[in-house]
Amino acid sequence: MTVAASVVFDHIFYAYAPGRPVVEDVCFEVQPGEIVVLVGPSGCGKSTLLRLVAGLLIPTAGRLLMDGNDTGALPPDRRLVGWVPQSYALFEHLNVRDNVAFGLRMHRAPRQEIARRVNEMLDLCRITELADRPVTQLSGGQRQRVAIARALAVSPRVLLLDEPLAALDPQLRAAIRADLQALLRASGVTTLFVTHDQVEALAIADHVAVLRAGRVEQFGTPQTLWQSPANPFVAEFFGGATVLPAQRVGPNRVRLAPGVEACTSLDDHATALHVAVRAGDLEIVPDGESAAHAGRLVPTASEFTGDGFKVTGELIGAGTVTLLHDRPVVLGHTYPVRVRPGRTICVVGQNQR
Amino acid sequence: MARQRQRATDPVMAIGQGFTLAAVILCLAPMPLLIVVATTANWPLGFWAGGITINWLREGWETVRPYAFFSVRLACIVLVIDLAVGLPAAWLIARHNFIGRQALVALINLPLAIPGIAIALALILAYPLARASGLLLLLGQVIYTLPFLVATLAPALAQPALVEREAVARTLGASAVQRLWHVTLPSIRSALLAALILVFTLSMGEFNVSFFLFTPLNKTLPIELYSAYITNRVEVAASITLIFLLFVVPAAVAIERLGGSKIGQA
Repeated sequence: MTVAASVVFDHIFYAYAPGRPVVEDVCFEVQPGEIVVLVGPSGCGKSTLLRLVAGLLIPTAGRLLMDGNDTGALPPDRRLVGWVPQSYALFEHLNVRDNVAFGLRMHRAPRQEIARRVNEMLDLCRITELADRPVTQLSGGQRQRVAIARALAVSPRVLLLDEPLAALDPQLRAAIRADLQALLRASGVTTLFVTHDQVEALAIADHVAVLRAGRVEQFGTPQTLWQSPANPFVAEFFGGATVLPAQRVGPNRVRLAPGVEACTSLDDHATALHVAVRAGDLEIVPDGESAAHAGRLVPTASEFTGDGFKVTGELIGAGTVTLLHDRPVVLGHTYPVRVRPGRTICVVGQNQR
Repeated sequence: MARQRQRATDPVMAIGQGFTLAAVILCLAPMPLLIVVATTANWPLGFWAGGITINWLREGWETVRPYAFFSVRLACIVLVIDLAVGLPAAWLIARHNFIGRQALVALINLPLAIPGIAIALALILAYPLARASGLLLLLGQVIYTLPFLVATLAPALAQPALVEREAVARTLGASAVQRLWHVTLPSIRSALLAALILVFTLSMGEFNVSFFLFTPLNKTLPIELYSAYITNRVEVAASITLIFLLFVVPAAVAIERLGGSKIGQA
């Protein structure tokens, strides 16, 4: 089995047409055996990055290193990189076993070696009982497993998964995601995983690269991205935070709005800064408690979520915020609002770990 | 009342169905007639006058046999040449956006817009010495059938799903030849088969171009069919027509079963 490789993006640029780059100055490192998730809105260049690693595209500038070696213009058939496109692109004229065996046959592996390795992959991906089925008869989740088994069979140095869960039923996605993560960990392969879903990114990744318009906005662990978003885009992308301006009023203490003060995880000596406010951070002051140190919220919309209400409204003197409340609110009324006791608020734009 | 109105057929639809039925009858009526004529001993006296006979069919077969086999052989050679030229051309058109791509498409499709007679005369004027060998007949048929092959294969080759499958095969270590053999050809199998049958049928039935390019030694079945109508008894001509249909109809049915409606048919 090939040992998992490291991948280094060293100032990578790519443009389909001159003057219109889709990937700009991308720099990050993937350690051997890691799962790194590339996340961002559609058109941010994440699939293009996978094609660059696969060698289907060659960077217009910059170096792509695999295990420390510049891949240069090495063609895809000599890179030993497993690529699973969003459509899975199974060979429809072959059955499951022949799909999985395809790469080994192309590499002219000995017959016994092919049989052994294919059985191992079928077993790893738990599709042994489907081995003789035509791939056209499989469900979405089964097709995904065949595609991954096919890619892993040649012992790739890196596995590239492009939105592997996007084609699946939403009800199944969470379960299959957990299975997939277990499978990737078991195989030990270095994985680059593309998604536009921030929940997926946080759940599965060792490190996350947040992309926007071809650039890396932030690279870090899921915890880092959640707790110290580098900029408003990252903050708003993860957890649907609202980014609000705030004034520093003391060490680790900021004021969001008249009457609303909060603790922050990081201290910043700047007096004006930005914080990311998530739905769980604020609350309407419960009846019977003092509303002396509270801001004022005027709800503009309310959605029933099952276990409560998601209330969107104007925090007077700050901006639009969202919070959770257990009872219906009257739109247009004014409610006292405060930071949930014990909560610390994330400061945006401080990339400290 | 409302229910009754729903059940009543839409008048526009009814007229359309009527016309369709009339067209089908008009097209199919000659078929049984052909069979009757070919098996009647003395047709000028009427239906099965003088009894039923297979002599005309036998005579017809004797007349056209050499030409039928010549036509089959010619169609096979046309097929091989079309494939050798048309498959790479279709691949280029489907996969690459190069300068002159539109010109290539136009050039290949040009014979569709030019009358067969004009193609034939142009070939005779350009290569007068090649006619005797039958080369011009072959060339004329290739020019005439190539657009159909390319028009059938190019869309199949252009499918994004196929392009992606080839890319996956590439990352799995497949060389260009391996990708063509193990991924591309199996994926376009039915379009390829349909294109081949289409070219074969077109070549077998082609008259316009062939009529100007044939030589006594290189004569196709439709040309012989034509001379049979001009010179022979009508019973023999009917027999030859039936024999001709035996060659062409199975191929046409096969095209239809392979999804003929999707294929640009003549």
